[in-house]
Amino acid sequence: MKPYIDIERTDEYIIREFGQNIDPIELMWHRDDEDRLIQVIENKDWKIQLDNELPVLLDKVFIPKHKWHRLLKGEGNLKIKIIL
Amino acid sequence: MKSVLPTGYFGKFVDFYSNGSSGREDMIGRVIKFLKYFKLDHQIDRYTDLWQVYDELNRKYIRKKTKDLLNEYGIKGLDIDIISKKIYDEITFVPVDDVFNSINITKYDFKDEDDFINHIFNKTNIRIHKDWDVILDNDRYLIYEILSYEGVLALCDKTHCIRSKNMYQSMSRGYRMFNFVDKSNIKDSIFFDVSKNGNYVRIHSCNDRLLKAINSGDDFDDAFNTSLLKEVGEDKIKILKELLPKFLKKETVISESLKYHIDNNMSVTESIYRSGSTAHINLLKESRELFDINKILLSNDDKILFESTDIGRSGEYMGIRVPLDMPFDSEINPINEALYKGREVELNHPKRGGSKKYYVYTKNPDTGKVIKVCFGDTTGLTAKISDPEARKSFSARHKCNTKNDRTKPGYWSCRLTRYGKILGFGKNYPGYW
Repeated sequence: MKPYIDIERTDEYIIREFGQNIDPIELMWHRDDEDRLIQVIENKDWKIQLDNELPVLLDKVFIPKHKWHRLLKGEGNLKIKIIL
Repeated sequence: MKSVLPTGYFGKFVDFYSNGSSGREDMIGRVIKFLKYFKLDHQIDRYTDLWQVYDELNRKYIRKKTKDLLNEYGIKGLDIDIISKKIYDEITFVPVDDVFNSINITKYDFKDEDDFINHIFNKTNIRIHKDWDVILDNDRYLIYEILSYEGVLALCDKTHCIRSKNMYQSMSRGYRMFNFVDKSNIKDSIFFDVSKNGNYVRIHSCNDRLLKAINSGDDFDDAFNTSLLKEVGEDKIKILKELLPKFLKKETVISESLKYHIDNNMSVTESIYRSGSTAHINLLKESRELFDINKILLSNDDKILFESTDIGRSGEYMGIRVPLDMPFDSEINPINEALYKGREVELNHPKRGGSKKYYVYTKNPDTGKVIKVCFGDTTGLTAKISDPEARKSFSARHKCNTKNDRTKPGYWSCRLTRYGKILGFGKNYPGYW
């Protein structure tokens, strides 16, 4: 079961939401097969961590394909727009 | 052969150096080896005499061994560079490849030993070397350096080994290296300790004991006066007393990464970083270096791992430097060779069902070689380490309290729970399964 729900999905972007009740352990380190540009729609203290870097507050971020990364849970829900 | 040493000598010597560097214990073995080699019987009443005996015998040994080996290998028609390496291996007890791999030779440009010593005491010159910046930016290295230099000046008084470009050049020129080591007019002994990744060169000598006393908060003067340095001589003591406090007042500079973990009260073994990532391994390495000189207080879980394993250290496995005693989940955490050589090639990425679930690199204490130990279930069972009954049952079935050999899969399987966070189970559990 995925730790998020996709609210909207088009050929150009995905609106994705992570719930506040998610178990942090589900936010695993992972890599994607495509470049990702992330824009934040709603966020309170959720952070992103790229491989070999310390976590930073999630804001607009570009994640190259095959780059290890993970989310770190904050307060409330996290809603992001993933530009494909 | 008669009894070599008087009763009580060993105890005295070992006791004297028991808090110092391990190299001193090795010295005993070497002297005995030399004594046996030459079939000599030396009376040694004081520890300082050991140095004299060692030096005397070492010179004889080197001369004789070099001559013999040159004859042997020369007859075989080996290239002079190969002969040099073989001789170096034979007489220094240090695998020559270790030295070559540890030192980035091209970074050093010292003409001779005097030139090198001048560099040590000239910050401007030191700063031109990027690795020396590490030393200057981190007071613990600088303290080591000054202490050691002074200690060497006074106490060792003979050259045993200079691991630097000089050595390499001497070796590359043939066996002139031995003339270099054997020069009778060298006043200063310098012992180098090259870090395993070659990032810095630490010079050390007889003063680890003093440094340890100072680091542990003992009174400086007491530590000083009870150390070997009381034999240094007033002029050297004066210099050292002026220099040391300046550096001792400095705080140890730590990386942003380590600071983050300290500020957030986080374990360095579980770490904020991805297990097996370069940042994680660097964090462990830095922690290990600080831990070894009592400069960092670790959590209990971390402390146990640092005391009982080689975590934070690295070894060579099939020509590649690998972190020791750190389990990896082979399915989700392939080692990235960028860690070693800047290449994006993944190693040890097993196919499903083709390997064990986890692996770890560890050092075989008998051979000193690094081996890869694969362990874990491959039949699809999940590790229920959060279940105390499951842990208890597993421990009993596998007799975990008897599994003490780090080179065996059983050792690691039984201790899997201690690496819970590293392996993605969310939490570490003390004890065995």
